[in-house]
Formats: sequence, structure tokens, C-alpha cells
Amino acid sequence: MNCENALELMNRELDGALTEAESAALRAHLDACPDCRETWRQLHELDALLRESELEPPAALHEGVMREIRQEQKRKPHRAWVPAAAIAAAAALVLLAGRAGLIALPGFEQTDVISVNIGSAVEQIFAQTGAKTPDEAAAQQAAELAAETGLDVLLVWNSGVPLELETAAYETAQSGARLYCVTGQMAQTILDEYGAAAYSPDDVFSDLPEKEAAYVLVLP
Amino acid sequence: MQDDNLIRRAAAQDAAAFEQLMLLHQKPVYNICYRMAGNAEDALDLSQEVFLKLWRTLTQYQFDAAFSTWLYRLTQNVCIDFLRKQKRQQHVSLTFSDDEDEGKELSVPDPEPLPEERVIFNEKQEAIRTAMNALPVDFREILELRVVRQLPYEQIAQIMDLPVGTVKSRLARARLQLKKRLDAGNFFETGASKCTE
Repeated sequence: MNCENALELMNRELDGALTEAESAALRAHLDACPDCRETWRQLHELDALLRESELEPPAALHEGVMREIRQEQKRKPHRAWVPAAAIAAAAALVLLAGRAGLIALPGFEQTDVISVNIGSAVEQIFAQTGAKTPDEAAAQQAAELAAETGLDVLLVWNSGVPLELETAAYETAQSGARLYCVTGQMAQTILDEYGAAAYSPDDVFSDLPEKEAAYVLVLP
Repeated sequence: MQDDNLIRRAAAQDAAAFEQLMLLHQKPVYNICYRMAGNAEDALDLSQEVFLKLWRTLTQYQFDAAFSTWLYRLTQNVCIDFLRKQKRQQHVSLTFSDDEDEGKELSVPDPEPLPEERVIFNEKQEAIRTAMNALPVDFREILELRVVRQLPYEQIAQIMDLPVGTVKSRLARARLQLKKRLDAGNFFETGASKCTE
């Protein structure tokens, strides 16, 4: 082994990446070569000193970031992330009403129709978040859709068609709202970027990116 | 596993979960920023930028690579953007080492210590800091990722977008350049070895 080979092995030895045979060969060379022995000592010392030079982050880092995040959340009242439990309650109300025969929901085969004001329940939720409520009929439509399909439904209003959906296929509801079926990941992106309310058939909102599909209802 | 749960909650804009995630990862991020920027003030600003970007883009993390790989890559990109802007604004030379040729210029100037940095450093630590700041930025980064963070070659390759073979050779050259710079300042008790030339 020459000194150049030994130098390469020294580097890998510092990284714990030598085989036993390579390690033994390096030892043999170091025993015979005082120059390489000195190089090895120096490289070893440098690695140790570098590791010891690690710094503790200042408290200002964590404090500054969290302050900014909390201020950012306050600055976004238009974005209605409706609490999951409250949404579950709203969706349950739709289901309850459907089973009791009070309103017609697709799939429940009810005929004697009266209206139930799901919108007022949703309004209360929005009042808690400080966000401006969407159209009541649209809120009801979104809640019904979530209950019927078992999918999360995002309601987007006052934002136009999100850029991410401009070329996507959609159905048009009677109200003129556009209905898109998207991946959970896309739904999460839209929720993050646009003023949106989310309606869920269950209370597991944080898993939205993991859902295979979700609906986005865009008001005209 | 614990991270995965925190990441999902933080991606859903749960600030408390994000705070926990940040506390777990702020030390490596800060140290990478410190190595790349070369001073505490910029390291603080850059680390803050990294975590604010993380908060806003966490939904893009797909769990297909280790979270630390994704986070350190984000950190590296924020730092490189900063160094490029600094170069434009201050006409400072920013170079990376060239695999065909050793890096010849400094990446960023060795800054004057800030008041809060004027701590009595151990003499050797101060010499190391000065010598590190004189290395090309990718040498400083690779030494931080391998020697301090002790990441495997493969993960460093993913973070720096390099073949594993290049990671190994660049790391070896970074160690030697650091040693050479310290040799010049009589850092070691004995002289430099001819084997390292």
C-alpha cells in the first residue's frame, strides 16, 4: 500500500466505512510510515474538534418562528378551517335528518321532504373561527355531499377557480357551482392556499393528504 | 414514527405539533446554516426562514424519503439562495469546489465577529471556525453533514444531489483542505506530512 492509498483508507476509516481487511491493511501501513501516522493523528483530531464545535441554537430561533406562525394564523381569518368535531356534528345532523326522513338525501330513498337548516349549524362554526360564512345553501350542499359520499368536501368561495383546478374536469351543479374530484393531497393544497371550508363525514381531518379522493365545490 | 405523526399534524397547520417538530430538528438545521453562512447572525435568520418555509410547504412532503433528508435539502437550498444573493449584493465571491480542480476562492468572507459571538473560544475551536469559513461552501456543508451530523454517504448524496462516489471524494478533499489551512497556521504541534500533499 502506498501513502495515497492509505490516505483514502484513512478517510473511510474516519467514517467507519472500512472492512476488517482494509482496516488491518491500514494499520500495517501506519505502523510502517511515520508521516502517515502523523496525518492520521491530525485528521482524527480535526474530526473530533469539528464534532465538539456544534452550537446550541439560540432561543430567539424557536421564539421568532412560533411568533411569526401565530401572527400568520391570526392574519388569515378568511380561511375557515372548521374544527373537526364541529364538522362531525354537522355531518351527523345531516345523517340523522336523512334517516328520520326529514330531508331527501341521495341514497336514503326518502320522499317526504322538508328542509333542515344545516347552514345555521355551520354558521355557528364559522362564528367560532371568526371567518365569513359561505352561502348557506352551498354549506348545506357541501355537508350533504360529505355525508352521502363518505368523502371530505372542500367548499371554496370568493376565490375564483383555484389555479390548481383550472384544467381539471368538473361537473356543474344546478346552483352553478363546479364540483371537482381531486386527490386528498390536492385538497390539502387548496385548503392551504385558498379561503375554504372543509366538511368531513368523520372527524379525521388531519389525514386529508392521505385520502385517495376528496371533492372540491367551487362557488361561482 | 413519532415524527410521522407530528409531521401529519403540523402539515394540517397544527401549530403545537409544528413547534414540537421544530424543537426536535432545530439544532441540526441551525448548525448547517451556521456552517454555510459562516456567522451566527445569518445562521439565525436562515434557520428562521427554513422553518417558516417548512410550515408553509410541509404538505409537499410525501414520506418517500427520510424527513431529515427533505429538511436538510430545504435548509441547503435556503442557504445557497442566500449566498447567491449576498454575492450579487456585495460582489462577494461565491464558489463551489470543482471536482476537477480544488476550490480556489473563498465562498463568503470571514465575517467580523458580532458582539454576541465575542465569546472566549477555545483557541483550537476558533482556529477551526476560521479555517472552515475559508473553505468552499460545499466543503463546509459536507463536513457538517458527515463529520458532525454523521449522516451516511447515501443520505448526503440525496441531500446534495451527488453520486455517492463524489460524496466520498469530496469529503476526503474537504478534510485535506481543512487540514492544509490549519497546517499553515501551525495548528498542529508537528508539521504537515508530505503524504497529504
